[in-house]
Amino acid sequence: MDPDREPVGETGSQPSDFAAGTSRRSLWGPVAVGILIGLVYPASYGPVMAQVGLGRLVSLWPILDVLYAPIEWFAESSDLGADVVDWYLGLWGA
Amino acid sequence: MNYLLPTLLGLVACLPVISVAAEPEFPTELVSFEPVKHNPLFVASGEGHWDVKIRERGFILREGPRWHLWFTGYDGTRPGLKMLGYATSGDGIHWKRMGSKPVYRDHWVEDMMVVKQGQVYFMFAEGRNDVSHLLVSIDGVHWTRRGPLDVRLVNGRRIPEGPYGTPTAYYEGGTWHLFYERRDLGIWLATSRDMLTWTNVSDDPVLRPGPSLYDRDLVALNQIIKYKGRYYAYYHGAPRGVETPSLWSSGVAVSRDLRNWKKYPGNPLRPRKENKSSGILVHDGSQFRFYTMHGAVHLHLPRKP
Repeated sequence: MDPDREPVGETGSQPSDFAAGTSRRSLWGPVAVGILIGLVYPASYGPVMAQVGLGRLVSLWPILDVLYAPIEWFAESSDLGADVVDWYLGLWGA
Repeated sequence: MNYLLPTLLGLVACLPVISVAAEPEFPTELVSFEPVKHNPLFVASGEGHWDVKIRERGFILREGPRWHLWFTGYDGTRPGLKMLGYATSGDGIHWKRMGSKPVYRDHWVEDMMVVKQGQVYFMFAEGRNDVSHLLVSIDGVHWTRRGPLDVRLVNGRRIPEGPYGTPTAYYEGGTWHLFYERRDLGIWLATSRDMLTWTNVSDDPVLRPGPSLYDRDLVALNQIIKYKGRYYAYYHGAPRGVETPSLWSSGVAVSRDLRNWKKYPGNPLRPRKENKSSGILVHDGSQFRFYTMHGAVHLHLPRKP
């Protein structure tokens, strides 16, 4: 089927459902990325740094250093940032 | 006319090089210091305490208004366990010990230095028998030992048995640089990306003793800083057989690549008779300060014109 041609006839109701499904699916990608960046990424800082503090993952430091550069920048950019990051690290015993 | 734009672009590209070249190799602010009157700032607690004496290189790190001092305390005997002490300050002058015990005594910790990367403190220190090791901390107080540093020759084989001490690390661009001495007979440089294996960039020292009297026979490197595009190494040295015990004094050398070093012609930074070693530079927010460590912490401020 020509993908550019819309279905017609008895299946005439399908186009909107199809489009809605595609739209929902297409939304999931950005939402998942948003969740990953907004929640999982900063949340991972505590446990990862706790492991580094225990002498583990140290070999990955050049990668972690780059990966968490935004958080480290946030921590070093203001007293508030430092307090927030220190508090969060403290939750992990780091 | 056709050459105007490329010429201008070339000039712009060269500006950083030109500006570095225009700077003196040894700026006054890095080499000219005089002791303050109220020295020493920090001494051992003495008899009846865990730190009857303090020794070798301690390390000072300033983070905004908070100053950290890590030092090595021991019972005053040669074989006595060398333990890690910790003190804090609001001005780098008045120090307050954390508690009345060492913060780490599980292993021998001596002649240490600290690199903070992100929120992590990496401590490079001598362990027992001058075998360098790595400790890690998130708060600067609670430390976990990672183990001895595995240093390799250029060909990948382990360096020959024996001490490798006064470890000094510098981190840049994802690469760790480790300077270390062997019986104070020279400074070697090894690099690593994973901190598991360190490989010599050359099996020859990058900094050798001499030829001047103050570092004629022995050298050890305490700190690397980068300033205005150049690297500076703060080290101390001594001659053998001139005095007993030997008088140590501090010096500085400059490099553009961390491998080739040129010593400051005005070394030592302080007269030999002062016997001040384990010197490091700390920026207090407006100027550099020069601290020396061995035996007691002494502060030196920029010499007034």
